[in-house]
Amino acid sequence: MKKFLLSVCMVLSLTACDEKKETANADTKPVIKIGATLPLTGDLAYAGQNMKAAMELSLKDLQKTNLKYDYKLVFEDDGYELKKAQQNLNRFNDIEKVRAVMTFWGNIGTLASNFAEQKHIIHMACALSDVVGKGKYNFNHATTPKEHASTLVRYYKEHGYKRIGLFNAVLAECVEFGETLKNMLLDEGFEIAFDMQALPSTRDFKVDILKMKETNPDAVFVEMPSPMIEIFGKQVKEMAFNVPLTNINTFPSAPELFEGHIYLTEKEGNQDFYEHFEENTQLRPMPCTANVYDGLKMIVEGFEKAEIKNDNQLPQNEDVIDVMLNNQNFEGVVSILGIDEEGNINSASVIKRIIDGKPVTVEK
Amino acid sequence: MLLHLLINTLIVGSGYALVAMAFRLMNSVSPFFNMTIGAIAVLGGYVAYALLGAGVPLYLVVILALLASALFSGLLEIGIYTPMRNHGASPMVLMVASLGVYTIFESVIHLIFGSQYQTLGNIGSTKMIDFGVMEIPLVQVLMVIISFIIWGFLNYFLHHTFMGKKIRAVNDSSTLADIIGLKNNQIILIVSVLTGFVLGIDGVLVGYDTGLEPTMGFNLLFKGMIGAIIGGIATLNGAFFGALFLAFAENVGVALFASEWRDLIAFVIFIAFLSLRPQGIFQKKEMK
Repeated sequence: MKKFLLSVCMVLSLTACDEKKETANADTKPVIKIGATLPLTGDLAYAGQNMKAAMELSLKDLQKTNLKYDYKLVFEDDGYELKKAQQNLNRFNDIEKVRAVMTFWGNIGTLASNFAEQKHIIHMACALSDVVGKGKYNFNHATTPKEHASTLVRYYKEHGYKRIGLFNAVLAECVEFGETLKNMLLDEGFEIAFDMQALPSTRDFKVDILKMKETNPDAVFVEMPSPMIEIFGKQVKEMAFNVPLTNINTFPSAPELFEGHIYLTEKEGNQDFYEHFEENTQLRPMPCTANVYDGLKMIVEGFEKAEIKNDNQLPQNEDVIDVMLNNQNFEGVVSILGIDEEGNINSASVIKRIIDGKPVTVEK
Repeated sequence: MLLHLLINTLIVGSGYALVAMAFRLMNSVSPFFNMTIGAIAVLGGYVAYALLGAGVPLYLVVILALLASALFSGLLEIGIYTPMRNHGASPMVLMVASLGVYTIFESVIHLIFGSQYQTLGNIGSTKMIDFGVMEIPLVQVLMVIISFIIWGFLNYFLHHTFMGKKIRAVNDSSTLADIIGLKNNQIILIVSVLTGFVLGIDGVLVGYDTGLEPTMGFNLLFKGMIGAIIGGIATLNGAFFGALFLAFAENVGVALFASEWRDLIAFVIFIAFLSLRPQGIFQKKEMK
């Protein structure tokens, strides 16, 4: 009994020491909370978990330097549902008092961008969208649909393609990009061989591929997330549908399926970062991993460099935003970055081809 | 195009048919909407994935994956459904319990294997069988052959074996079966294990064909269930051919309209049959 009581006392005193240590830290370094509403469950959980890991790694790497503030990441699951995302944003503002929020993909990004403007919270998105970055408080670290589309249209023209097929998942980002590309193709005199869509739950594309074959396209642009893209690629191969395929960013997830095909991506992906990410998280990097990593870094650097005014403990968000906007030579893992007047962090579009299982830059 | 459509109907329908037959079999002795049917199939796939990753030979992987599904199905029956049934739980309560089990299962799979899409075998190299007019992946050919074999086996088992007779007796009237001394719980357990084997086969085949995701169980379950109800939940043949009919309707719908119509067509047919012909296409012959 005595030994038991002694053990309990020891545990309690150790806990108290820990609390004192935390309190000491909290006393010396003010805390800045950054929230992220991500699909941590559901069909897009693989992507949400990846983004979460990227943010945690970014913070871990930043904490190796001497930071002025103590940063805490607050993650909430939205299951890629707008209602849950809205609840998360409200919670971030009302309860967690976050200073910045990060989102992923267009639907949630658009919701968060309106919220950020209302509540004056910094919002960093990674969304294939032309509108998410608009407004004083919003930033979007992803190549814009227009940039990707114009790069691709130029490539198609140079290669003499005339009939292009479009096949997209019924997801806001994919549909938005599909429309942008389609309009640009039509403006440039291309023929649309087909314009088809599939629900994210689709796992059998064989009839769709039969229909595509009948239209004889010169090339097909397909925009869909994993696992749709892998299953589609597998079935395209099985049905011997030998046509040039193009996609944004997702082909490298299954290079054996897309050997010889081109895809659009951000400028100069950094191989060292991908290895660092895989080593630390045991996850394969995917589209937006590097963008999210850089996005968090930009926010933290903004806070670190912003002036503190009027006897506040922390810089105001508006001053942080000024620092971010003025830094047009931010050293990201993606490339040297700057922010344009629409809040887009400029990443030029490049075309890469999968050759011997590895991405090789074809055109910038 | 028509030939390809028919062949794809056979391939996709065979996948649905395995789950439909399992659903029919389980429902025949334990009539409630069992959501864990999807989980049992998914377990087979993921056990195969884990064993392949550990370098276990393929033949052993398949055997162990099927055993795992069968064991899981049996344990669910012994541990959850039988005790609840013995305490007088209604089919609605059992269904809710199965939903809870499914949710837990999906979370556990997510925790162990992550949420990223996985495949059995090398996704880039599919073994193809040349039939002259077209090439078909080996796994899809196997799915068709195996589903027909299982359909034949289950028909034989149910109509030409003593255990099959007992199962049909419990299906006809569990009360009478109990009165004449048939051990209902034991029979239900045997059916659960048998169902587990069938679902495990589906999980492994689907894992090779279209890959594995923690959330795939519901889709497998719903398509199998719809197929079973369309064909006639009261008969095994109904479940089998109902699944093929569902695949045909979906494929024709996609061919004529658009890919997004696939699930819509499935559920419209489902509602139509429930409203207009709830006994399904193959109405069970009634004793006179």
